[in-house]
Amino acid sequence: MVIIILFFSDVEEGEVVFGLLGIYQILFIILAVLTIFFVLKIYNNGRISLKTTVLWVCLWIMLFVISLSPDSTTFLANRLGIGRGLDLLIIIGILGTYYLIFRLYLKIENINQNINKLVTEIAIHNENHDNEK
Amino acid sequence: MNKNIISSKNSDDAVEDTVGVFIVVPAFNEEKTVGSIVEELAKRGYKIVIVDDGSVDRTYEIVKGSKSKYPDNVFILHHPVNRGLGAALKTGMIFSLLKGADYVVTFDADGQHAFEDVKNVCLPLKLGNAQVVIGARPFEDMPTTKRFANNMMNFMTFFFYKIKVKDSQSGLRAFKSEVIPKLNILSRGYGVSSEFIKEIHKNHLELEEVTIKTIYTDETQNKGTNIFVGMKILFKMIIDVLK
Repeated sequence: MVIIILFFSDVEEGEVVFGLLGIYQILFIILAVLTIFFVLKIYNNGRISLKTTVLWVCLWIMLFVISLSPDSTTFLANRLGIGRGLDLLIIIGILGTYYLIFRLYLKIENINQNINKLVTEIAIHNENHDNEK
Repeated sequence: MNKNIISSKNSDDAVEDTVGVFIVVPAFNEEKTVGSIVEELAKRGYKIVIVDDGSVDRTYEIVKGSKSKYPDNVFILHHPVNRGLGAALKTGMIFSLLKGADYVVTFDADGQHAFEDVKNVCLPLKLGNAQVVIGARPFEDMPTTKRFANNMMNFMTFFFYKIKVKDSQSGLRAFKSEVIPKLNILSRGYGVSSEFIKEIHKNHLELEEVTIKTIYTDETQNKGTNIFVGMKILFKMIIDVLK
């Protein structure tokens, strides 16, 4: 662990700077690595699709990189015209959440339609069956 | 689009011809009214398709009793879970088609429609003047809040679907059976009324509006289009446009 901490690097004004990792960074890195392993494991067991796997692995790799080098978000934020790196993260977070909610809404709508179809089928089947009796 | 308004008075002398007419009655917790409605319609010789939409009261037992009195005229479709007005109507309409209906009428189970209006809404279909008929309730008879909500719904229906109707939320409608497969109904709740109008417009169906009677009782006051239902339908319409 000591070695990892010492080899932590960050980019500051184009120069690689070495320093100590904050506790939150260490926690996030461990969390990211564990989650990636977990996602890959359930993918191997065939419980999630390749698409979902790639999505989640990419997301956690991103978190891994950001934890390792928090200032990289400031660099990106400046490029995009947003003041601070944290703001960029929050904006991405909110937009991502909205997107997920919309996806969920459509999925629920779809499931509702399927339930309707089932209920209709059951109702008609039972009526025909009752008449045969 | 062919839209003529005829008064129910003009068709009062028409002979009540019930051959091929299937009346779909969606019912959700309507134990007080559903029995008399089903029996009254069955007595007139219509085929009744009652869709019990997962009622938790005695609706199902009551219509079972009605079926034993008129076994050839009454069909009971039971939704094991409540799926809403739109889904209930869809079930009833699909079943009517399977049974070889020529005309399908939708009729509310809360007792707000007059039985003789079934004949009136079927008439333009039989004469070949229209493919779809909507029974328009005169708004002057409505209580103020209902009138406001229904006016709002008419405006929203016009705003979103660009079609002007006298009563977009009426529960009494009549369809020629061949147009029913063209109607793509997805709404589950009260939004289905506006959706019918949208589908009529989209498929360029000939629509006629017939003025009908509305019976206002305490029962019918509590259901149907009020402001909250209106807001919900508005939200659905916006989502529909975005989809």
